[in-house]
Amino acid sequence: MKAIFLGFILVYFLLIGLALLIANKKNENTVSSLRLFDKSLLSYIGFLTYAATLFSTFTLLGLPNFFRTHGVGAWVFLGITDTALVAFLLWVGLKVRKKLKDYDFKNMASLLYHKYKSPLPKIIYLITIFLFLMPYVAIQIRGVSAFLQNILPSASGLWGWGIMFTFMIVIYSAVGGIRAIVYSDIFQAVILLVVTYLIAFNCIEMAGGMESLFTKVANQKPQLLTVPGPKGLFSTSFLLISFITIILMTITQPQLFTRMMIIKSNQEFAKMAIWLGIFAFIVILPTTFIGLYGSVYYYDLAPDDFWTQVFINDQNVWVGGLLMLGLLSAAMSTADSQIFALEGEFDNPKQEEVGWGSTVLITIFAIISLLLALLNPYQDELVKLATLSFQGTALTAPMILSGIFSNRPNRFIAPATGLVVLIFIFVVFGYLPTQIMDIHIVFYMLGTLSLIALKPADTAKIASSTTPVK
Amino acid sequence: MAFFSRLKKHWYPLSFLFLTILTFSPIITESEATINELLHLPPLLIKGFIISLLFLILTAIYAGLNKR
Repeated sequence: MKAIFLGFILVYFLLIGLALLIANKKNENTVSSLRLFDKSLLSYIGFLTYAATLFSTFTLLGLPNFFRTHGVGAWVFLGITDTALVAFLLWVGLKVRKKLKDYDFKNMASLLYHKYKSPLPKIIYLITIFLFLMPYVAIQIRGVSAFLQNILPSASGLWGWGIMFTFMIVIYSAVGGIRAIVYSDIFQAVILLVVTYLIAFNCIEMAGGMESLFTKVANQKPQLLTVPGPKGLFSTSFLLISFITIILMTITQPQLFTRMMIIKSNQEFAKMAIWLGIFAFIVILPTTFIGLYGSVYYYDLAPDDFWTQVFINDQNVWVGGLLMLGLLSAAMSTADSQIFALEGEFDNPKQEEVGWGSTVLITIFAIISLLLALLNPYQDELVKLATLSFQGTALTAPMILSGIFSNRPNRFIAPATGLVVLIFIFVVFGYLPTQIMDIHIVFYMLGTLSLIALKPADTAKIASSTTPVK
Repeated sequence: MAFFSRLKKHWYPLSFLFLTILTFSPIITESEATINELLHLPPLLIKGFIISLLFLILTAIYAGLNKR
């Protein structure tokens, strides 16, 4: 079995090498080519790369585990939320693209600088995404290292796999540019879909059919079939704030915003949204059955052991190998997209060529993410780390939207966002409560920032200029 | 009249808001209970599938209108 798994890893490295070669042939060392795919992405490639960036190890490993431990409320948490995300993406994306049609988009940081005519919003944005994309990259590193260590134990343990994987994503994104990332995204999206269905069908069959699976869940853990679930996680407050912050990722996370901006035309963008929505629905669906199967047979296992049981021991060896391939590519495509987009945010907008300064910064980011992946206290809670990332980056949404849509955005929004992000860091470390009167604190934070953003500077100026002089 | 024309203009975000409210309302409808009896899926999951599909239909309609 080990030989087959090693064979799969070898095949993966060969494919990655091939993607790098092809991408390098087409790439020129310009921002437009390396970072933005020459803004010519078509809908069918666009939806696959968007999907692969969005659906990661978190979908493949975290979500089945979430269904297993917290029940069918996980469909509200991600199934509904992701289809709503696509509906929001289409609406806001068309408006943003229309608003910025005469602007030469390079990255979000320079867009904010251009709109606010001040470096502060850009600095606040860079600090926030630098801090809160780390947990999301850490999830990918943690997920893939733990899985590989379980099925192919190495003498150096988790660290060995973690260091190797981090090294791979930094090199791959630095050398191959967005083209190489898009190629690996396409591969990942297809593998992810095939492998989750193979495993889900197998799980349903082993449970004696769909009806039998749900009857067993109802008999053993009936709380899994309702909200808030056996551990009480899926409160309305939690689901609502997850819904809002996940939807806002389309605007706040650079890898998603960039993909929205580099689609060739609005027509292609609209087509991409339809395909993305369908993909989101069909890729999350099988994780429900894998997770509920796990709740019947492996409820008490730790996540790492649950994954090994369901994805390897209960499957045909070839399916297990394919899963490993899917997992590697899922983690790779999500992490390299994020690292690459983040690297692009630190580019000098005045330079046409891509320099190495931002690569050094991103290497530091990757190393900190690696440490977070392997040393943090929530090692088994991939979803907790993901929600932390969604919530943190979502706090920049009012500042971004105000910057894009208001002709003279309120200049107080940037320091207010900075202050709120700082308060949120205190919440993350447990110095402040996560809920006030049963409502998540991020809800109050976003509400306050939205109110500030909705009072544009030009309104104040017009109001004062139209006051009659006595 | 002005109210209805504004309503018509903003039908997409309003439909989005309606589906969001539906997501977080505790109501399980008669049809979901019937599907539950037929397919033996838990009502919450059926409701989740239906709302997800409604979001997809909404996206497809808006995309269709904006494909020009």
